[in-house]
Amino acid sequence: MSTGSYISLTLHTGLVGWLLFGGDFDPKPLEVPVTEVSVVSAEMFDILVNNTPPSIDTSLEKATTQPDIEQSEPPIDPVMDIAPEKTTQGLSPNVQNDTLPESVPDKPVRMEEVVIIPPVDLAEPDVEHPKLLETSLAPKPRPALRVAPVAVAPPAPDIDIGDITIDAAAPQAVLAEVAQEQTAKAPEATSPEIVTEAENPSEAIKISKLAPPRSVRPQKRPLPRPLVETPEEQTTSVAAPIDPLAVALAEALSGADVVPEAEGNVTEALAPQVIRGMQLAISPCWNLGASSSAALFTTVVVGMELSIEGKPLANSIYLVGYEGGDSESAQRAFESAQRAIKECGAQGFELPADQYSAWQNVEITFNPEKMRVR
Amino acid sequence: MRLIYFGALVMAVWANPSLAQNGPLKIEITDGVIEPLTFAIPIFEAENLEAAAVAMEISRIVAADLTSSGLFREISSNRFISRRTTFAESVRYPDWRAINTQALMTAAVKTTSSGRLTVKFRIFDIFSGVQLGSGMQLGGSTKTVRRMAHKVADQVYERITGEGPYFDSKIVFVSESGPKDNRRKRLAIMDFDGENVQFLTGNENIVLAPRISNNGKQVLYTSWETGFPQIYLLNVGTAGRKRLPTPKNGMGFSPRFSPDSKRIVYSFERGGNSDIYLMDVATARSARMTSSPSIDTAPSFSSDGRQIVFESDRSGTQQLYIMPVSGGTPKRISFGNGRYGTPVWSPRGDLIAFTKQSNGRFGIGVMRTDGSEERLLSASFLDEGPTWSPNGRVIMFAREDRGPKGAPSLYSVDITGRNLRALNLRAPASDPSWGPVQP
Repeated sequence: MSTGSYISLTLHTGLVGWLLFGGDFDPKPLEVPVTEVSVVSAEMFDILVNNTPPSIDTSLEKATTQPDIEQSEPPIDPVMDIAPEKTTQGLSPNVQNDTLPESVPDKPVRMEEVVIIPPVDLAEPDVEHPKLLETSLAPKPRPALRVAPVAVAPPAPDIDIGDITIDAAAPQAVLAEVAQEQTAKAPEATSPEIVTEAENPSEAIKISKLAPPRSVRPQKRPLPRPLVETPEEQTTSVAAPIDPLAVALAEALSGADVVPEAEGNVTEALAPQVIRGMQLAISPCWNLGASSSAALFTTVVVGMELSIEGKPLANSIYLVGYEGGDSESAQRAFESAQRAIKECGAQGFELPADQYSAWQNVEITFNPEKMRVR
Repeated sequence: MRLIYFGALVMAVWANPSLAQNGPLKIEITDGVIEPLTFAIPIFEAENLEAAAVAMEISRIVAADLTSSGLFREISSNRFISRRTTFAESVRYPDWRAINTQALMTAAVKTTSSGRLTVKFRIFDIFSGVQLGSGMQLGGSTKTVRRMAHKVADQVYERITGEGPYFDSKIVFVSESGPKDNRRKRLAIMDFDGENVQFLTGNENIVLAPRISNNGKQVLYTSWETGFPQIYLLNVGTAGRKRLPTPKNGMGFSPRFSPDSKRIVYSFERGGNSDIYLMDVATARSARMTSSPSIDTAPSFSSDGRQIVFESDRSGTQQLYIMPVSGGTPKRISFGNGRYGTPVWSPRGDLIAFTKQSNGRFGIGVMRTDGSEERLLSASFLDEGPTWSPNGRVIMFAREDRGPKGAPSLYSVDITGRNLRALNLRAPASDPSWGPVQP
């Protein structure tokens, strides 16, 4: 036999032998991964299986205005009858998710005591309040003198006139013609003549049908609710809630203007851009992030007096009235509004000085309705 | 006659235009910003040498408390221009305005050899240039540093926001350990910020759904101590406990105190039917409140104790219902898509928090007590078990991650839906129940 036959015989013999006896050398059968799952205990299962039918009334929606007593048991003893379980004092810093801290002997939870002492003399330290709001954000330069105290010599002339004269330029006898060649870059696709809609009424009708029938903008801006005005009240104390009847009477008797009428006089005297500019100036500083939930439902009207520079005068800011909350929430809403005015008005609002009388006294309504839905 | 007077008045105004021209300029602001209020807390002044470390610790905790509310943002001390040296020193407002500080807090700490700790503090509105309210002074033991700091933070929070305090409060919860398929659960209590954890029970028995009373002295919970779910009443001060007598041949679970802690409302299951029961704590007598063939469970008292809200599947899906404690027909208040459960009435009485399951996800939401203005505040693989802060501004709940290694942890969120943050606990936790502000 050839060498190849020997090799083939050996391999086939080994293969047959492995097929016949190879299973005897398997260490153990393949394992099937099993996870033990325990949903309820055996006792719990027995109780659930052997549960007796309900003996109580199960009629639908029986109102129990006089509740039926299910069971009468002795009152609960205030002294606990079961000893406390083993507890520990706290989680160890090295506790991992799958480990438990060591148990220690019983130790009841101790409640520490803190006593609030009546306030001692903690009045605000003496602080000088300036008349106008001071700021260190944009210091003003020191004013320069317009007239020098001592006369100085006039400066040297910038241009010296030379001695050489130059003849004026004469026109050229023959002008060279420069003709720039222009090539058509694209064929004209439109008519060389302009046809307006007036000259082509059918096209105008077609376009007009595509236009909306009317503007989607509201016809008229909704008017704010009338509020009580007490301009003479120069205090930060919380005003009384607004009564609509009182508003009507106050307007009729005092002749004070409500918003719609004001738009026809003082507000009309100022350009809308000026008023809009003041709104935009205050809005970024009106922060309701730290306001209470109740303050977010409180509209406050804040009055103030401005200096000729457009700065709010110190101590001139007062609460005119409020709506939608109680005095506590009104006070918090007023403080937020006051912060906004003082923070953004520290540099002075951009207002026309020649119309000072129109904006010397301002009443701002801070309405958080839109802010609530953010 | 009145018409004549009115006509004369109109004519007078019309004839004298200057009268109408003298009114103030009126402007309405409807747009603002929603941002945390910036505050600065220079390290509290130590009035004696021994108080230096305590002063630093208290100022750190106060700043952390205020920041955790999401309503405040601390300004780093690196930016301070004005360096205060004494508590009595006047405030240099321009220096604080220059770094955009809106609120400033100054304080001084003093300790005595007898172990007495005193903290006095003031709050200033920088842009208004005034002190907010009067200064205050707190006293206690030197062992109460953390509580003292929480009290100070509560005062600042209350004075600036107008909301009630909640930093100095405790939370009872279920501390979990071990693998997910063999969790060991035990009751624990901690400060609102996750510090000072203390266990109330051992880990031999499974415990569920602890509910702390409104006076903070007792905890109701369900335990498998007897191999069967039973309701237990635990005294927080002594850790002693007592099994509450519930009707026989059934399982009592999901208990909750009334606001005055004199009554308990709970679920009782018998023969596959769960109903709501009311127990008088003094007499241990129970009365049945609902009798429906459906599953009625997870009851919660209203803030005035006159109504309860609970979940029921009597309509075919799990929805929320309210009914008077004195009895009556339950009224359904939830009508959205999905299933509603674990309702909890707000301490303010205006909102009800709940767990909602919809589209394979769980979320925490709030709605008005009539079911209107439903809002979801969170959503994840599993968010459940809301509990209200004592001031009704913050909701805490348990969130569990997906997968075999998913462990529950506690989260809190402002009722505006902002400031969702995880509690800094070093172990898995679930079933939170927020206690009252400590006296």
